[in-house]
This record gives sequence, C-alpha cells and structure tokens, in this order.
Amino acid sequence: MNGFEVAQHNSEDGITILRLKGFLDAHTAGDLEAALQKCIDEKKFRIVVNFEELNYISSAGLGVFMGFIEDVRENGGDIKMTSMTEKIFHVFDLLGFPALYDILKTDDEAVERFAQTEKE
Amino acid sequence: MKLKLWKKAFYFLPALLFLMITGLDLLLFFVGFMPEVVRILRDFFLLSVILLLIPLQQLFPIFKEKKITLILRNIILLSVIAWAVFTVSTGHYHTLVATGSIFTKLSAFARNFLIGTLSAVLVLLLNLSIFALLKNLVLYKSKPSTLRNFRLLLIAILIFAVISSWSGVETFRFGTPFTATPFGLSYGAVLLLIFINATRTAWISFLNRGQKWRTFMLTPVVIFCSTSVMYGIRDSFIVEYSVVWAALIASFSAFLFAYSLFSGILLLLHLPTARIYDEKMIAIRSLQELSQSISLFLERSELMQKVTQLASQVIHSDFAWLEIYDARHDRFTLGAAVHLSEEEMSGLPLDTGDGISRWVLRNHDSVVANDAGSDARTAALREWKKEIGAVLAVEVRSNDRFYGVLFSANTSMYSFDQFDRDMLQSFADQAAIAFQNAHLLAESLEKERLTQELRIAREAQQKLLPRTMPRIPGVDVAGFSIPAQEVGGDYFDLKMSDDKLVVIIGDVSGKGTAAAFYMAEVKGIIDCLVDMHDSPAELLARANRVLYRGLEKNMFVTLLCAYIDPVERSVTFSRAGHSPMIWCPKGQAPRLMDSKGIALGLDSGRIFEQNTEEKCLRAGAGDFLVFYTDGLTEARNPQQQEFQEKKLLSILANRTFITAGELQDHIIAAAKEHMHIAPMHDDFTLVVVKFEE
Repeated sequence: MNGFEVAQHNSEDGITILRLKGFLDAHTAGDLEAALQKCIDEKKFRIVVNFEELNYISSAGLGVFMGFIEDVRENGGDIKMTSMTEKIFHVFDLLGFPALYDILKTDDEAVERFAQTEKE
Repeated sequence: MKLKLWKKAFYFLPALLFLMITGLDLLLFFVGFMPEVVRILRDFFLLSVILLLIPLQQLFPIFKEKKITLILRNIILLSVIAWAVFTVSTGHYHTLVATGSIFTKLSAFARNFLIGTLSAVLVLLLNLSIFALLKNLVLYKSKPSTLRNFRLLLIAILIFAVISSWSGVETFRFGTPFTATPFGLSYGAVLLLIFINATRTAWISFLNRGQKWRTFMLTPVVIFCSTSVMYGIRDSFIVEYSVVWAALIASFSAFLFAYSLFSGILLLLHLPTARIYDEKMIAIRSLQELSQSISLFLERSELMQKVTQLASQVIHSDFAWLEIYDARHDRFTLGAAVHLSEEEMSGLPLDTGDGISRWVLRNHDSVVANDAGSDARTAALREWKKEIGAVLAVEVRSNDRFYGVLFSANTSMYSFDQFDRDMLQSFADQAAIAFQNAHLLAESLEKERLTQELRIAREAQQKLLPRTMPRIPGVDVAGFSIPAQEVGGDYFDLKMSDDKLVVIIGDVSGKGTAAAFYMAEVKGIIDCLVDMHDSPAELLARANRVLYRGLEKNMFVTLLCAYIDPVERSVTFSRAGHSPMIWCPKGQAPRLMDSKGIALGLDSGRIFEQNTEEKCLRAGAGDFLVFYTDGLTEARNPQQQEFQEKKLLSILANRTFITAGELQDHIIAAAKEHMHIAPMHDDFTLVVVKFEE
C-alpha cells in the first residue's frame, strides 16, 4: 500500500524527467534521493519532477528537493515540478514552495521554461 | 490421633506374637513332646510374624536409601554379618549347648531357647533385610514387569515356605526341585523366579569405573557368605526350630547368591568398557553443566572461558581454545584458552588464510586432523607449537549466525575419533545457544538503556514547553502538545512582550530525536529574539536567517507568530509555512486566517522576507483564536483518512464554548475519537486563546 516508484525518462533536449508514483515519506525518500543523486552524478542538472501519480508527500519527501536544489542551481540547472494534484499542491503551497520553485501544470511547460532560460 | 495409636499397636504385634510362641515353646519343652499338628500351627504363627514384619521396613531409612553405592555397601555388610551369626550359631550350637561350655551355668532350656531362638531370629531378620535391599537394586530403572516379577518371587517364596512346613522336616532337607509334588513344584517356581529377578542389574551402568572395580572385587565375598548360609541351613538347628523360617532363609540367601553371581559376571563384562563409559558420563555431565551455565546468563567472557574449559574436559584434550569470529571486520580473535600460557596465547596463529578456522567458516564443517604433521591446514599451528599431533575443530553456529571455532588439540597423533568429534560438536551447539542467549540479553539491556535515555529526553523536552498558562487580564489561554514518539519536533510558547501576549507555534520537519534537537534550537532562537521585536514578520525573518545557517539542508521549520493586545483585542500575525490560525468571531462562522509565507530553512533570507506577510485583525469580546500543528489535521483513523481542517472548522462552527480549556479539550477528544485505535503518526499541538467578555 505504501509503495513508491521513480521512473526516469530522458528527453531529447537533455532534460531528465522523473515520474513519482505512490507514497513519498521518510521510508521512501531514500529512493528519490538516489534518483536525484544519479542525475547529478551523470551531470544532468535540468530535471523535471512529475507529481501526477504521487498520492502522498511528507516533510521528509519535501526535504529531498531542498537537499538537492542548491547543487543543481549552482550548476546552471533546476528542478521544476509539474502535474501536482490539488492535495499535493496544497502541501507545497502552505510551506511557501511556489516562491522558491517552479511549479507548473505540465511537463511541456517545464521543458519550455528550460528552453527560455537557455535563451536568456 | 486414633489411627496413629493403632499403627503403633500394629508395630508391636509381631513382637507380641513372637513372645506368645516362645511361651508355647517353653511349655512344650517341659512337656518334652511336640505333635506334628502343633509344629505346623506354630510354623503358621511364625510365618505371620514375618508377614507382619514386612510393612515395618518403612520405619528404617536404610531401606529407603536410593544411592546405589550405599545400598551395595549395606548388602555386603549385612551378608557378612548374617554369615558370621549363622556360622557361629550353627557350627558351635552343640558346643554352646553342650555341658561344660561357658553357658553350662545356664539351665538347659535357657541354653536352648536363648541361643537357638536368638540366632534364628537374627539370621532371619538379616536375610529379610538383605532381601529388602536387593529389591531396591532389582527395581532400579524398573519396567512395570520388574515389580510384578519381584512380587511373584516373594509370593513364591512364601508359598514354598508354607509347603515346606506342610511337607515336613525330612522333605525340606532332602527334597529336590521340579518333582511332581507340591514341594518340588514350589521349589522349582522359586528357583525360576530367582533366576528371572537376578538378571535385573541396570544399576551397574550407573557406577563409575572405580565403583565397578570395587564392587566386582567384593562379589566373591557375598557369593561365599550366601552359599554358606544356603547350603548350611538344611542341616542347621534352624530347621528344628522352624521349617518355615529355614525355608525363608534358604530362599533369601539363594536369591542373594544368584543375584551376586549375576552381578559379578556382568560387572566383569562391563569392566573393559568402563573407561569409555566414564568418559561419556563426564561428557554428558559437562553438557548438563553448560546448559545450566546458559540459564545463569553468564557474562560473555566468562561464558567463553567456561565453554572452552568444559570442552577440554569432555574429550580430554591437552589444549583447547575458542576462536571468535568478528563478522564486521571479517577476522578471528582468541575468545578463551585452557592449558596455554599467556605467551602461547599471544603467539597463537589466528586467521591464517589457509588455516583451520577459515576452512571451517567456508565449509560449515568440522575438522579432524589426526596426523597434524602432514595436514596443510595445521601447518601454522605446528609452527606455533611443534608438539601438536592431532587437532579437532568444530564450528560454533546457531541459526545461521557463525560465532567461531572451538579447537581441541593433543600431542599424540590419532587421538581423536568419531565420538570425540560428535561430542565436541554437540558441545559447540550448546555453546552457540549460550552465545545467542548472551547476545539477546545484551541487546535487550541496550534497548532498555535507550528507552531510559528517551524517557529522560522526553522529560527534558516537556520542560521546554510552558507548564502553566499565563494569567493575563482580558484573555484566557490554553495550550497542549504531545509528541508521536518519545520526543518530537512540535513547539509552542506563550510570552509577554510590552503588555502583549505573544503566541508562537511551530513544527520542525520530521519527528523523533532529530526533530527534537532542532525544536530546542528554535526555542532558544525565539527566546532571544522575542524581546527585540514587536513585529511578528520581523521576528520570523530574523529567526529564518539564524536558523538557515544551522539547519540541515533537507530540513525546515514552520512557525506561526501572533502578537495579541488583550486590551485593544487586536491581533498581528505572520505565518511561515505553518497551518493558518483559525479565528472564531462570536456568533459567526470560523475563518482560516491565511497569509503568504515561507517555512524557515528553505531560503537564506531575501525571498523569505519578500514573501512573508504580516496581517492584522481586530477581534471582539468572546472571540476565539485556534492555533494548531498539522499533527491535528493529518491525524489518521485506522482507514488512513485524515482529520482535516474541514472537520475542525465544523466543530468550531457547531458549538459554543465558554473557556479556552473547554474548547481545547473538545478538539482533543474529537481527534482521539477520529483516530480510534490507529497510532499517532505525527506530533500534535494545540493552543487556544479566548478574548474575555
């Protein structure tokens, strides 16, 4: 019941998309950490995290993004979040994440946003 | 009481009966004539004396003795005494009775009666006692049939005695067994049953080698004594005294003869294997001792010493040691050793790659190296100690956990056999259980210690929260906080700053010990800052700058801060990622007081400050303010459904409350009802403020 999965998908323009599924809490945060660490090790700093199939996120899950964002941004990349359900967005919103992270409707929007920053 | 008296009277009955018979004898002596009928009748009474004597045994502890060596000693002693009494009284009967002896001064009847009767009584009593003692030996480790056979023997002896009396003195003297007369048949039955019972010698197995030797050496004495009595009885005066008694004595001594003969033969057969048998017994005893040590929960090093020492006893090894496997560092260390000097112990070649302990670890098997000189695995050991001729090593393992290798070494080659290996292995298995127990005990002690530490931590953390509610004119305050585990990351405080009540509620991400440490840090920071600021947004901004540096990257803290003026009833508040407070204006629907804000620790300062609003509200008399952490709204029931803000708001909308405490208790009760039997999964804090009317 409390399973969690991260599916990695590399798009053509060098953007990595991570699809989260299930429950992201203290027990499963390690899996996401490993996935993000792998991106950084492979020098893939443009990361999109898709929340469409995520049912629950705890503070430990939120902490995973905070642990990596600095590293990623220093290397010219970003972690953009997409497709959150209303419930998940509420959690992020309450904590003020939207002021610090790009939270977008779709993966395409995120990819577009990466392209824009590239131009600038 | 009455019963006891009866019992005592019963004990005197044989003596009384015996005195009566002696009286009759006296009478008949003077008459000088004894008709056959009277003789048989007299025999019948004498038999009754014996039957009545049998239950008397219980009075003497000697017959209840269970220790074989003592039983044997008593039997040997009594047979010698019985023989001596019999020989002296029969051999010298006529001399004693004849005129001119030292007893001449006694009158004729006194000589006859005192000496004759007395020795007859003594010989019979001694033989009866021996028979009772033999019963203990026969019944040692008995089967149900054993007791039956022994009872049959006793019955056969009694019948034989009666028939002997009936058949007369001559028949008893010269009769042969297995003839078609009652006498011959009963005689035969007694011999048969003596033979059957005499083979019951299970006790021999339980003697040690020394005891077997000593007992064997003494059996000829018993055989001689019993034979003398058995053969002498027919021609003795006792037959004249009473055929019944003579028949009993003959039967008892015949049984003693047969039993000692059989025991002697069996002892002789046991003697060659006695040494091995003894070794086995020592091994079993050592195993028992080890099992007992296990239940005593010896300390680990003591346990290792005990195991090694007993192992060396078990298989008589010249040296023994225990190598303990350290799985974390993948190496062996010396656990304990016996018969080795300090110097030798420090020189022991532990963990040589091609050594025995590695071999045992790899192959999960024991090693018997009887020719140590030509075995590659023992090369290192031979280098360390040249005189080693044979090595035996077994693994100490329990439930897939490998504890180490138990070694036993001898100077002589080919000194270990299959039995030694099996014995040492079963010993090592016991030892493994002991180690496992010791390990579990240590674990549970450690757990106990941690529980104790956490209890102390909980008490310390409780002291960081307000223990009494401040009494401020104009407002009524209630606060409550409970961690999901022993300690937690929730925090609230109630302070006075310039006549204003400052309510701070917060939640450190995560729970448990890590969260608890940061909760203490948050409290310290807020305590320092609260007096320097009169704006909640400024206070939170400063706290964020301080905390951001000290907090771990993946942790954050949500805080809500409200400055309440109890006179003006104005509330200035700011929310840093925390659940918004609820304002319940009197008579109106409760409102979630949302405002923009970011949790502390997410941003180093600028974005935080730009995005954290400060808001103000003007309350009225009778209004309530409710502050809470997400432990309340996210409290789950057994179906994993959350309590949610909606439910909280509906509670506040549907009831009117008089005091802050009353409202607080009601919410807590509702949350508990919702959770039902589900465990708390997050810390839970609630603060309620009421503006008094």
